Amino acid sequence: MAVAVSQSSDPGAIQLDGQVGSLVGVLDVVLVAAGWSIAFTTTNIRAYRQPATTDGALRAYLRVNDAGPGAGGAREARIVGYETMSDVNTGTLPCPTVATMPNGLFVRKSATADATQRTWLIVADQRTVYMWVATGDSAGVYLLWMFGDFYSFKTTDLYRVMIMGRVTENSAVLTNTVDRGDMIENDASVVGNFHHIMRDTVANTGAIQAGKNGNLSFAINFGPLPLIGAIAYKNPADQYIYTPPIIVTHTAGGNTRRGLWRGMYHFCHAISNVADRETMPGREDLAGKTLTVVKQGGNAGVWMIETSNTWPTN
Amino acid sequence: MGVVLYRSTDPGAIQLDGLVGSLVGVLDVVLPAAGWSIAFTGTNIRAYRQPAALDSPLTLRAYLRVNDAGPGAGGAREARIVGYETMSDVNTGINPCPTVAQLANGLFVRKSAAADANTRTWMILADARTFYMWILSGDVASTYLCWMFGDYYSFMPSDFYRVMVMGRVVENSAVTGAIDGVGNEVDLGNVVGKEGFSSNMSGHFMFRDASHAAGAIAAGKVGDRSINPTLIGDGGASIAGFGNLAYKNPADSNIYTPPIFVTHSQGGATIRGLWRGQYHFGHAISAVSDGETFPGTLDLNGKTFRVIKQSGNLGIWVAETSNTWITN
Repeated sequence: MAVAVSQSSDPGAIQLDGQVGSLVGVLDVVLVAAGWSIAFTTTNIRAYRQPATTDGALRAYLRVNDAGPGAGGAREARIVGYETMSDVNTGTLPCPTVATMPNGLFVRKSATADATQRTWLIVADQRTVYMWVATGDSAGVYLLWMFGDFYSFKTTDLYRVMIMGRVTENSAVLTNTVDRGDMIENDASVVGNFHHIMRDTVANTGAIQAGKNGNLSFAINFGPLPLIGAIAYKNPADQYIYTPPIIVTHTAGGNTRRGLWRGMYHFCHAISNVADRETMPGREDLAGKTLTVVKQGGNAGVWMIETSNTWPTN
Repeated sequence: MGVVLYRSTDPGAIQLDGLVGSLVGVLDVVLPAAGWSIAFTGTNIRAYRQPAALDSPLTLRAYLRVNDAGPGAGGAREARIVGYETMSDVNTGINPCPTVAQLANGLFVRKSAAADANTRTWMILADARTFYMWILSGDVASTYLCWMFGDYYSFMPSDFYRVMVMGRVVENSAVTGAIDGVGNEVDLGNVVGKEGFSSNMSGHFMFRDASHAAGAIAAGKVGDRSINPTLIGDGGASIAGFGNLAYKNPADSNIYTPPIFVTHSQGGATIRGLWRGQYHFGHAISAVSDGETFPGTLDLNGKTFRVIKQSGNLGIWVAETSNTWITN
């Protein structure tokens, strides 16, 4: 399936709120439309899987517990990836591992455990899903989580699957101690529990911590730093908007640039220059692509998401 | 003319030492071989010029004045360099780069730690538009200093003024790193700016800003800070030419050498272009040796690189020695 944009304002869209099952209600529709399967299901819990058409890849599972499993109740869900699953509650090789994150990562659905509807946006294809939620914790602020393939620099990288989410449950904090969806780390030596990859470069068994980098030279400060930058808008020499790729990194096996986030870029100018959902054409290396602004994150970053069906894939 | 690496070890090469005229002696041979002209000459002073062959597309054909007569407190240890947009004789030019207000005596090239006949290893990597010169001045063993003059690759269409100069900013100093013992910046030949590049770097000047308003401007350069978390001691403004990626990158076994961007703050934080033929080494310098060559990969496929190790800030230069420099 092609890269598709789904959002809560689409006609007939399932709505997200702070009640149990509302997240899997959205995902049941959107992920299946994007080509994923619902491998296992029970009340307010699902295991989604990348489709058979992605063979040559891991076809990883994503377990979503939307039954209000933690202290936040139905405000939040828990997510964990698995290499294989045999039923909705049983999987092998979790990502993150139990040792690093016993309850997995957290997806904040809503500031309140009630029926207040929250704006959501999903950009997905059959390999990768990014979901933004305007939780209502702070007006105009989106939180991002993701699961699925990155574009790997390694040839035949079966385990090129990662997950990103929040690391503290039942928290209204939107900034970097809890949520780095709109941030990049300084360099490849910085990893943490926000990002995890199914396996390291040599495919040792077990998930590893990961990080992501943009181009720190164009950023405004030392990190973790928001997805914005210091270049005048637009760059006076060529009138271009600078959006270098977001690089997936890890330290297991040495400081490694493992690959790229598919379809996501580092906006290297001040946040004030763009508006939420503004679109722009890619230039130079990104010619032929359409980029869409999602503004803004809890760390005052912005996302540049490629909404054309042009994501790099391997 | 293509890109050529000239070295003091070449057969018949002119030697560089701490005596007056030795630098222009080298340049008099190398730059014309690379296509440049000697526009004007005086005793131990020259004005070199980019060749007429550059006139398509139109370029500035800038002049570089080199005073190798021992003009400063360092005597013949050092020369002074200034660019000009035009010159009418060896001592007269207009629109200097840097301006007199920026640096009254221009920039400085350290030839030798001693004002004597000890010869010093040198290398020049040049084509008809741009040259870089490295010198083992003898101030610190095995430590190169680098200066340059000429075109960068501009991101601006029809950028007539895409010329820059880089050199030392303190005269008669034996310091080979970015700063001296009291915090003065001396030599930033191997360093690139950190995040928030909107501030300029000592010793880097361009002829004009992106609007082409007359007058040289301060400039800088950045590599990829995302591969080097280590600030050097120049007030925390810069990083040296190395990185912290494992060698080679475990995912693809490539050597990572991102480009070096040239920047300026005039007119807003601007990425003006790229240094032609130089790259930021993304790994520990212990992984490579001086003089080692390696082929480019990925975007740099077809290029050949040479390691110049090491700088006063414990970085290295990665110089593109194949005739594949980016040009506009």
